Amino acid sequence: MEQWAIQRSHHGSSDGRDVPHAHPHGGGPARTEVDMREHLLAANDRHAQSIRALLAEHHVFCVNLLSSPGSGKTALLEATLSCLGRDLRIAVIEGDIETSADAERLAPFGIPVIQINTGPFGGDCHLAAPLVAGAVGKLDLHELDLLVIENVGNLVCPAEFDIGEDGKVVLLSVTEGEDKPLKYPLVFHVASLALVSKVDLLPHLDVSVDLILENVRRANPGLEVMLVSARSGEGLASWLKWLREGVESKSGT
Amino acid sequence: MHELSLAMSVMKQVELCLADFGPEARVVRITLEVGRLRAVVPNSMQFCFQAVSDGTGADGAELVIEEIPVRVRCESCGTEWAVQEVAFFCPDCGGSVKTLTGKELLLRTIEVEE
Repeated sequence: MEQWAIQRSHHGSSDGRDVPHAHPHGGGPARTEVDMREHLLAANDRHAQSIRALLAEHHVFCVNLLSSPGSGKTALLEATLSCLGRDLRIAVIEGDIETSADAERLAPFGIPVIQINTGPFGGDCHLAAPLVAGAVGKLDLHELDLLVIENVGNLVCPAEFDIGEDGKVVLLSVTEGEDKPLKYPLVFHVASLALVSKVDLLPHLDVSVDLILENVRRANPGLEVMLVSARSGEGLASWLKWLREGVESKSGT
Repeated sequence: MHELSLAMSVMKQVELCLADFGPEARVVRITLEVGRLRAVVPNSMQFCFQAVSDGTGADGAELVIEEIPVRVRCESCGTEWAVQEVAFFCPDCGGSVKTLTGKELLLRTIEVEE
């Protein structure tokens, strides 16, 4: 058996590749090693770049909100919409495996909300760019300043998938324990901002905020961290300022 | 669970690759480079790949997953090391670090037999 190696002229492209000619002399099957050099998320990333270009063209600031289930992403959105809904033109894309419960919670705000369900009984545990592209296509981007994408509740997989956002914001509620930044470092590594949520519960818990902050710092020393409570309003001013600055940075004025 | 998406992405490339060969060609080995930061579980990846390649031209192919360690360099003092546990700052000077390797997620080669 003979080994052959060929170099592809276009990385991972279906056109213009070298067509292998690997016929060994003599009998037996021929083996050809094709050099692919293809990033496994390349297809996703191409869709993400299209979304990013489209949002840039329309001056829309886009936030990808990530956390484990039940950390308070939707509650934070409700509080955010209450405060910013009159000043900024906001739309939300809700990612869930199933149900439109989150979209229904946001219905009273009268803003565009698009629900993506990745599928019942074990659908994708994250939003991928092709799905988000379909949802973005349904929005009138001329009428938007801010797009918030609430990802599927999961601290692992959503961290891997670029969906064309300007920044990933990771929420970690104080009820989840101090160790999560060490157990799920990638999401903290790729985030632009971390929000420690539900801090109104601190008097009732044995959790150490200092240890949470220390562990976030171990995962990503440069990451900006804010302590917030959607319920009491504590810390929301910093978060809203962060959003407003993001919107201003994209406004092109 | 993102292993399933990754396995499907590998299969897409396998189909593109096999299109350049004859109808009898089949894939015997696939090599991936996966950085340790990527949270890919090799056993899950193997399982998902078996599931999506079943009955295709890559049925029974060996999936070689090369795990790449997380290496960083201190931006202040230049020290380089492999991160064993989560601590992305310099143990010597406390400086911030640049990640050199560990984020790979690459389909490197597909070996075809015909």
